[in-house]
Amino acid sequence: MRQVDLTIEICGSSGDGTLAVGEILVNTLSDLGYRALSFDVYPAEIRGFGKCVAHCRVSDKPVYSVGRSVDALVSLNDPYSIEQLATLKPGGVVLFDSWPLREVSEESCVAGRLGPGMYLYGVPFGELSQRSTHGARSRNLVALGAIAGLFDIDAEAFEAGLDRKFGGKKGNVAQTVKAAFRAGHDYVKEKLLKVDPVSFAVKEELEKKDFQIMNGNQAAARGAIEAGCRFYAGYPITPATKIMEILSAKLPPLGGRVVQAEDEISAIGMVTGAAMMGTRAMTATSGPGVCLMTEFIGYNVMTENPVVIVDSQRGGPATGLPTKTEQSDLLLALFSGNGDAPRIVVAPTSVEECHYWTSEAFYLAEKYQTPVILLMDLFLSTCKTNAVLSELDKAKLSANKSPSPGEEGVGRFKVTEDGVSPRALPGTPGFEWTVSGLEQNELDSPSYYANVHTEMTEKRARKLMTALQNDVPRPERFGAKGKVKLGVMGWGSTMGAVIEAVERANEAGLSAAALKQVVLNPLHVEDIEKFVDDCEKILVPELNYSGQFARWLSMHVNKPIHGLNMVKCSPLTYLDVLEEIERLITETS
Amino acid sequence: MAGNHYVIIGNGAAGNKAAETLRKGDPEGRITVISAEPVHFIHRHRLAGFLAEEANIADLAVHPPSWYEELNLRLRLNQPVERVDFEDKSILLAHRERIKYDKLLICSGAKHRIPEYLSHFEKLLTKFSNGKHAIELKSMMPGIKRVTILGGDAIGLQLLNAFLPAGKDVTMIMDEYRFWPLESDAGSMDRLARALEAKGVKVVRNDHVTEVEKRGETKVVSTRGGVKVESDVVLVCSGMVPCLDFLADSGIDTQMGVLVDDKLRASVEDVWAAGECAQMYYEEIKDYRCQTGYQNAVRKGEKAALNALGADESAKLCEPGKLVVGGEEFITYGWKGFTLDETS
Amino acid sequence: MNDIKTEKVPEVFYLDEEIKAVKEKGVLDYRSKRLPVWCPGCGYFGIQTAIVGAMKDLGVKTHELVVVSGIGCTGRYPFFVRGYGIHALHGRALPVATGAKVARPDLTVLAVTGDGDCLGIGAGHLPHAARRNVDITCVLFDNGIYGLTKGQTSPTTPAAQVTNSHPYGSPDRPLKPLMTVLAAGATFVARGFAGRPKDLRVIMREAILHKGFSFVHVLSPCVTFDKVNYLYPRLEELVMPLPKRHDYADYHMAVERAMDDELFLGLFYKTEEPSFSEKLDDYAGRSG
Repeated sequence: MRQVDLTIEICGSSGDGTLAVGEILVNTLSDLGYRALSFDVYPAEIRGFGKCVAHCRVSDKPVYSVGRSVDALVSLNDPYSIEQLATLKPGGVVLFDSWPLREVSEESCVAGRLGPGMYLYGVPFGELSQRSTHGARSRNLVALGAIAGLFDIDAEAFEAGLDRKFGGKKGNVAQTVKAAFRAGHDYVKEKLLKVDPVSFAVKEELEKKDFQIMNGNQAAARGAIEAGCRFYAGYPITPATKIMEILSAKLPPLGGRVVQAEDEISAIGMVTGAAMMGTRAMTATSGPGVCLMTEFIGYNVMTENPVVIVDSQRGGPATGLPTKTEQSDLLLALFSGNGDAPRIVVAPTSVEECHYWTSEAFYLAEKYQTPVILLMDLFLSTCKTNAVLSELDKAKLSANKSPSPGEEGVGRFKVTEDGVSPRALPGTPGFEWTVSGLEQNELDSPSYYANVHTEMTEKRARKLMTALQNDVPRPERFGAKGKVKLGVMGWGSTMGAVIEAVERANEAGLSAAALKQVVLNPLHVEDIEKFVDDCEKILVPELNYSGQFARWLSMHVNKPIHGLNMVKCSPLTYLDVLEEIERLITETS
Repeated sequence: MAGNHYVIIGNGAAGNKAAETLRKGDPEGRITVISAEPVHFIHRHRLAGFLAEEANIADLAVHPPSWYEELNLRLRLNQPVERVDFEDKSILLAHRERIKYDKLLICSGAKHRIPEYLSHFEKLLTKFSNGKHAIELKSMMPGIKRVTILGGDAIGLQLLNAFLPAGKDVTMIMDEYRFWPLESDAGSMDRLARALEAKGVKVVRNDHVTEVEKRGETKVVSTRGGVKVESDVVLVCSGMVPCLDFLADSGIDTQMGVLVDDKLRASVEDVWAAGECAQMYYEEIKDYRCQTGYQNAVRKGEKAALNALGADESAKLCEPGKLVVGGEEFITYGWKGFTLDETS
Repeated sequence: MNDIKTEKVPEVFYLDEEIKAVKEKGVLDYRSKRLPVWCPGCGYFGIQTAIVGAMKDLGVKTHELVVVSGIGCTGRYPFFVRGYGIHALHGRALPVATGAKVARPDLTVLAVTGDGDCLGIGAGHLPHAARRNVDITCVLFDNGIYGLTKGQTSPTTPAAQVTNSHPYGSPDRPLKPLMTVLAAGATFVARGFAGRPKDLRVIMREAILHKGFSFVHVLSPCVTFDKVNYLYPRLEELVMPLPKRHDYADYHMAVERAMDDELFLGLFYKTEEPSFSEKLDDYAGRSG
């Protein structure tokens, strides 16, 4: 059971510094040993006018999904916050600016919109900002101080965090932000009487770990760097752009190269060329970009070339909803392209796994000479959490199957038992090869013979089975053991909500278990079948309409699958899943 | 047609009864209840009990949040009113939000009274007239050993129910405001003082506070009679006065309270007042009078609401309540009645 | 000043004689075991000869040579060269070559591409490869027709020419490839003719030596599907060396000659600028 499980939202307009407050809040709570997850919601017109919400869920245990109902809402913009009240708990808290620049009408003030069980506190953000910093721009930091004061979170920890964030800036920025923070904090302490029950107090002391606050994009970029990725080409696209921006800064000092391509086709083309030279190479994009890269995915399957493609999914089809999360590219990742084109598809389920599996993707790609598609989504890409990163295996930094001396003239596509051919890297004398999108025989010549095509197609499929046996972890089971009423299978970013829902269902005495697999192709079908046999019913919750994972599973298992398919433009919460678990189990009995 | 917007200032007995009555009479109208209090409506006489018990303040609420929901009332807690603009028929809240009303019911109740001669020391005095004060005092309780009560109104007497069982040293300094709003005569005052002394309270009779000062964490109260009392908390319990701060210079007729006729109508159109903040004209005594207490609030709140809905009903004086100390009964205007006897 | 000499060659050349000559010169080291599948008499043989000759001249090691192509008759080129060959997707030779060169600056990277590949489906990449100044050599095999798909209009087919896809004549104005790359800021721009492989060999040598993006437009007859436009005799009449007074350092002059309907041969434009990789190194060094 969790000691603390609170969700705080800060809601403002672009330019209010809303997201910055969320960031500092999460950083500070992390310093204090809490586990936190923050997810920012912002308009597509990122720099324009629009609503911004920093959503922060805080607990004493790791959190992998957002909270569905909010314990405290901090309003930096009342009209936007009024909409946000819909998700506030009946006993939730609202902090708002009680000193707007001018009189406001009932329609545009949050104060009159609260449910009768909610708690409202007014803090003159604007006035305190003026007084403490001689400007109104620090309202957000006053609000941060108010949060610290009201919920009794260590003010010194916040100040240390502000020093860290602003200490390096010119002038006395750090002093100014701390003054604003103090003003909000002290106002609350002196002028407000806390009457709400929201508390961060814990009985058992929190274990402080070496937390790394990062979002999935940062984690993926870091995983790539640590895995030895030294070439990146990409084309900006929400929500994956940040990966390129990070690598653009980090790779050159390491001798790596980043190219901003003219389009996604060029990006994957460059990555293809670099990977063929033996350099670990990656691109990151979103669904529309994957569509453009599709031909090259098949090309890399055909030429057995190790490329890593990150697809941070967003609402689709077409341009879709650039700033809304969705999991609707699974079938695209699995099947895109013409012909039989098997590839490895990996869907990390948390920020930590974005780090681990990005690095693992390079290893798998190189070892099995295949494209690896990493399916992230907007939620994973942008949700910040204090991750505990795993130590990567240095031995996996080099995985190429080089031909042995004496094998000169072996060609590029020698048929082997494990399906993996020796691969000489350009620059190696005597092993010059030519690869092509055409089917080729073992001597690299284009070939249209049936036996060659059959043999090569089998080889390309076979090496993924080798990968499955040697390098793909078995699915992990959570929740109740043995036979259960309901089995839940999730994937990607919604897996966290699934596991949490199953844990809570178990606590409530419901017989449910969950099965998690990060690698979605190739699949450990036997393990999945075994799990399915243990479950009376199967539920697959996912953020798409067509039930893509359910469809993929139903190609392998012989049991009807109940889908919980939502295209709600926001991350799945454990409550969404829990309600469905309850419904399906009650239906059974 | 667009419904009426009824605004009730005050979330106490009068305000809540008025809201309930308005909803019955007008199922469609918009009803807003505004309260400066951060907590829900709590019976004042239960606040002292709250100090003594482990109770959560939210559990003392007279109405659960669902009551407001079911009646479709818009409740605004923790939102003091800055002023009322009667010409514009609008209210400006302290946080600069302006609310328009069609009918306004002022049920703002009463708050602790600080006698003129104590106002100079106000910062050193602890007040006790609402939930906020109760929460503050409760948080101080563990650190309190000695309590001095200036005056000795009904609330002060009730607080003894929290202090005495907890073993606190209590001194009461009685002056001309003592035991307000009890029906007082010299004899009854003396009886009451003796009854209190029998319960272990030090009573300083017929004296007058001249100074309150702070020495370290200790507060020292000096009197004209040369008494010096050291204590951790100095409570001012010198009666209640209507809460009318937000009506200053607004153009509505006030004296002690908002002056209303026997129909609870104020001097401004579409405005009624009820409960402790109202100073009503009583045909019985041919005079304006402030009445306190729960019964008064409920009855007047209901009448004011009915009249706001279009009725034309007069209100009457309420019966006084009873206070029992050491087996002796005393008359009070403010309360339905309570006893100090059960505590010992 | 244009320092590339032009040389009179016989109007018709014979493959056997060429191969014999090539053998003697040791350029066969750059030939793979596979025989070209081009039609006999195809201009691409001449281009192949010139490229291979240039490799020999420069002493490029075969294992340090990467040849990238797209799709079309030129696409097959990597199969006929000894070196690391990449027969990429249609239109995508330049991105793949860019990736290869940026990842491995130590290798010599050649992108061979056709008029359909480079100027049709892959036209989006050409200006960017040019403006990036990646140190690759892009050879455009321009026969003015789609050969592999058997005779459809290409982006350089003259307007009104009748092709299999335009039986009433092509309504499209042809592209001028040199102007495209000059506009994009290419740092080495030249034109050769498949019928004059010796001149082309000189151009190719210069192009490969050039640090940065070098673009060589090669006019080449399609002997099978083009019976009216790029015929050997017709091209022989149309092409002419750039005037003696042409100054390849003069950008405006280069643009003017590229605009001209006359088919000038030789080095149109050349300028020294840091290559893409040099710039990346430089900037990264500066950023610390």
